[in-house]
Amino acid sequence: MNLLESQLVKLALKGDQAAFAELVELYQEKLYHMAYRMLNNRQEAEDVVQDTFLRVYNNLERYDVTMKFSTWIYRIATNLSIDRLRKRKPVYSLDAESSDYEGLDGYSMIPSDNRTPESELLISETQQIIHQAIDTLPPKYKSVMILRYIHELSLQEVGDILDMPVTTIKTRVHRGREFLRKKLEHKL
Amino acid sequence: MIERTKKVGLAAMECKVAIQAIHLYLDGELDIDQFKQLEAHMNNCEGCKQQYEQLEKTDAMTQFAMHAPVMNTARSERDIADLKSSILAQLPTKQQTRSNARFVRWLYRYPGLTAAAMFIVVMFISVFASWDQDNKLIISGSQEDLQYIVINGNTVIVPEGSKLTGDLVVENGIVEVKGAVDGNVTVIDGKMVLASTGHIAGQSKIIDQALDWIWYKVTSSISGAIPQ
Ligand SMILES: [Zn+2]
Repeated sequence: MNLLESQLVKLALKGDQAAFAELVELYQEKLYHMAYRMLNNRQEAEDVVQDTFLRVYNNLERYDVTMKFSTWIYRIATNLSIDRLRKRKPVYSLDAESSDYEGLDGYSMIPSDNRTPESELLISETQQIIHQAIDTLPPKYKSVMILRYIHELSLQEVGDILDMPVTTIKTRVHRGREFLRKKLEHKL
Repeated sequence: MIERTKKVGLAAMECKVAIQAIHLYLDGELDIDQFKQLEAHMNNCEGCKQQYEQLEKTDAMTQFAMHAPVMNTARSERDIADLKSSILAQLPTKQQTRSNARFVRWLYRYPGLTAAAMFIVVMFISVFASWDQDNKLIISGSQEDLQYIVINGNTVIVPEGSKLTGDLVVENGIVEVKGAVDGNVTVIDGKMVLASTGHIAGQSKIIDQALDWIWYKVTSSISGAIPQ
């Protein structure tokens, strides 16, 4: 257990706003990137981050100190993201390729000052294909794959976050990877 | 020995098992013996070898793609700051202690009375009850601060070189400030001596009269009772 984090949680529990702000500082961008990968939408990702912190704040008393704080907060954020994915599923599956894709084409994905000919090439060739492939993953595989790859969490940690046995996580990673391989087959 | 060759033997690994082993390898969960078995199989099986290469590339590309948004969706300092402040702004203000909250609510229920008037009525009773009590020296301050304080008879000394970070309240005594005090120093029914080395960053107040004391009690209660 991260000492700083457990200390911050304890202080936040006592009503220390500054300690809570510290936790926000530590996690907001990590959660944002996770939610963004899940939802492909800036606004929704920000909403998920906001909702996550609101839930954390309201449930601090119920936080189980034997669990890593990161596990807990990722669990909340992942569940909120999955909820949103499920809610928009009808639209999503009918129009997976085009909807939710504004802002995700090659150029807009990279800030102008980071743009180099090489990175533009990489973006257009590889990134877009993979992002599209990832985006077509069904939610249950998507969350596993994102947690597994985005923060390089161990299978055990992914299991803790999703509250599932490691064997299930393993199977889903394997299937998810196989799914992506088939999607990318012609481009590999 | 026979069993071992059976396990390691090339024929022992079917393609299905090989694919499973490839995934375990990519999960970082294949030991060296198992890996050698897999390698041996792939040397004889073009299909599995190709799958291995594709899966390895898929894995690397996914890794890359997943990390890329950190750069791609790069959020400006301002985005980050804005999100943080809207997160903090949406948090419900938690109740202070229950008694304070109840008291404030009680005040709201009688809007015709001003808070101060209400307090004075309440305080008069308790203040006068304690006013005549005794002349005992009473010191209040934070625990860390109190350890620095020296008490000599009815004189309370903040020694030279020491630094109190909080407020200090002394009743029925003399306060000699030789060190530094970051907070307020309040003396009730007593005297204050500020030495040349002493320094009080906050307010210093001497309350000698019953009425002043009431006012002090009232204002400190009000500021204590209203959250934030
Ligand atoms: Zn094979």
